[in-house]
Amino acid sequence: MSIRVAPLACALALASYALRLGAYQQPTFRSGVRTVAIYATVNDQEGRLVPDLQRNAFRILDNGRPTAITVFSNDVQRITVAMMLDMSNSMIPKVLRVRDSTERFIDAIAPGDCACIGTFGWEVAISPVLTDDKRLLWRVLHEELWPGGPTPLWRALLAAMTSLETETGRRVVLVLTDGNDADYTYSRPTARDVTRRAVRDAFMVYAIGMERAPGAGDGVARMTSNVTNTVILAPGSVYSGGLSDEIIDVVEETGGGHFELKSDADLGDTFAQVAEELRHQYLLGFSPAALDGKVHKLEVQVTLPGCRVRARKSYVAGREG
Amino acid sequence: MMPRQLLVVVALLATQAGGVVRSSQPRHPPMTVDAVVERPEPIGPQHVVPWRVVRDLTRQDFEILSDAESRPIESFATDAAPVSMVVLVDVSASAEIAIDWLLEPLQKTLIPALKPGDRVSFGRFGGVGLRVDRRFTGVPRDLMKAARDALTPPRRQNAFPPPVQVDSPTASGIVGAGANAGPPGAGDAISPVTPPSPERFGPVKPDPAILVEGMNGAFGLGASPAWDAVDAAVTALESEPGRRAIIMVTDGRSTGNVHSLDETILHAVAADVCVYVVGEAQEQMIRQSETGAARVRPAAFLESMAEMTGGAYAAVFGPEPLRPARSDAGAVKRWVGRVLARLVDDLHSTYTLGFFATAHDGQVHRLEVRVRKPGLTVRARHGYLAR
Repeated sequence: MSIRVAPLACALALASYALRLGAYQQPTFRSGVRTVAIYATVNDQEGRLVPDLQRNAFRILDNGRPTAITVFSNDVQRITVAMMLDMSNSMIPKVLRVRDSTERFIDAIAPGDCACIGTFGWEVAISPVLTDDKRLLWRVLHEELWPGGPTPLWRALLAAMTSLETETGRRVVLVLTDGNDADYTYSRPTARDVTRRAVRDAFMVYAIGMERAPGAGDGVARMTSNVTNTVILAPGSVYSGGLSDEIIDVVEETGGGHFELKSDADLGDTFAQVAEELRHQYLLGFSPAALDGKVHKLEVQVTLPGCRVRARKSYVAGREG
Repeated sequence: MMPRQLLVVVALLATQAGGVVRSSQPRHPPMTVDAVVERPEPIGPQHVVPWRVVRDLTRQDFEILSDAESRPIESFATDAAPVSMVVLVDVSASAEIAIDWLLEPLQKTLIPALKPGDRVSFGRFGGVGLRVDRRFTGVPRDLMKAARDALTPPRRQNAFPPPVQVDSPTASGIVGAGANAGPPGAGDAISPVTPPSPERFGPVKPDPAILVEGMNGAFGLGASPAWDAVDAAVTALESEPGRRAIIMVTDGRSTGNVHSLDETILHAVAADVCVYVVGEAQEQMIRQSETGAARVRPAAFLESMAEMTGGAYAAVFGPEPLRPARSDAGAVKRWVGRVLARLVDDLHSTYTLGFFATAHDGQVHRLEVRVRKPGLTVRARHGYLAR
């Protein structure tokens, strides 16, 4: 997918929302003017979702400069998601729990949503079945989960983005893992590659980290090489699992969310929470002042006291509209 | 106990058999079913599969039930027809029977075991895509070339960004949700899949001889669409005369499929294609909690597919001490070769039974072949398409 397509996809998504909103919203799209879409999550001080804010509660800063919000929606959002399930060796003791909990996410899929299921371990495999049909997703979940292997995390995330690249609107990659990247292929991608792709093509990444059971997995130390940006294997070292700093950076850069779970926590509840959050994100749009082909810093602010907002932190100001 | 897949397919067959109009005056030509009868026998130094084929039965030894209704045996033959087969090989990262281990057994045992009139084509799946060749041949020198062409996968793609193989279904390709209407008789058991957009397949490959080639919509390294591969092989065999079979070498860890296992089995049953599997017999019991455990057994799905279609499952590795060690490539090659030769021999040791269908409604009906002698097991497809 070329860099030019993502803005087009965003514009199409916004146009689609404009049609759906009908009389309530009248966003206007002028020929040759690009609109940048931002999906924002707002939580209160207790972490509860705040779903009913209005346009005037938001402020967007493009490279530090306030910009007018030209599109706004607080409607319930449809979900387009690739669920990537870590099937590496350290996840083997949790494979049934993962499978059964993922059913909770499938339960939350509604008509009009698009979801597919992928796994990574010995192989990175993503189902071509992108659907809102829960029976098909259930079938994939029960026929195509095979535990074992390393953790090609970055490769899995990139493959998930590729699997969604022809979809329009908000595209989410949801990854469930208990470890850092451990990819034994020759030209393995890095976290930087993942961030670059996500920013370029406007993907949102969510991550659920699972605590690793004592003694499970390959004894990978939580160390990262400054040179190759890949994990250094340190046999015998203790790593408690969960999300690495790198994947948290990816998540935060893309405006997604991350959850750290203890080994006995209810994973199904977390999946349900992610689905609920995705449903109640705000859609904001603005027209960038400059289409210079550069990466622009983005900041979304909420004027309501005590609220926190999460949204992507950058975008590429492509020249194509 | 019946595996889940078996129960589902049997239920589907039973459902589809409902409401048929029965006729006591059959006016259509009889249907036929190929059956192999076996007696369980432990694996031994000269015996690589846990059964021995029984060849001396007569018509009176058999019983046929269609939709649970006994049917007279209208014809009986033991001179097996030539076999058309697709040899499907899993080349994914998790498969332990390497391609390098297969070419030699194919050359030394499978090809010499073929009988006049037999025709073979080759296919592969996993890793970098799915390919099924529809060029069937019985000429030994052509067979080896076809095997090399089909089974040698493209260069392993480890490069970033993640690969999308440019090859694709041909204009007449079958695999791909948008192109496949599903197996005959599948009904509404599975609703249509959202068709992957054309970009997923890349440009159309012009070679009309290749039935399917491409990623089949799956992404990333290593998806192993075994069900889709079988489905494509069934399609390739549908125009072939005689007995039709698939011999699939796989670890059974099937991923990235458009088609479900049930759909694939129904397609094979309806097309009268039996599926033989050379598997790895891996099994893991994994502790999941203080009280529970998970049994990971990829062979379970493959055994269901083999059973429902009248084929068989043969393990290469596994608990039997006589089976070769994975580390001994030479022993694995010899063992695989002997297994392949045995399966080809099985395919030529069939009883062909004729019967009149209970209806001619274009639906898939449940079929059961029994043998009256104790201690014997019949392998025959569990359904038929009543044309």
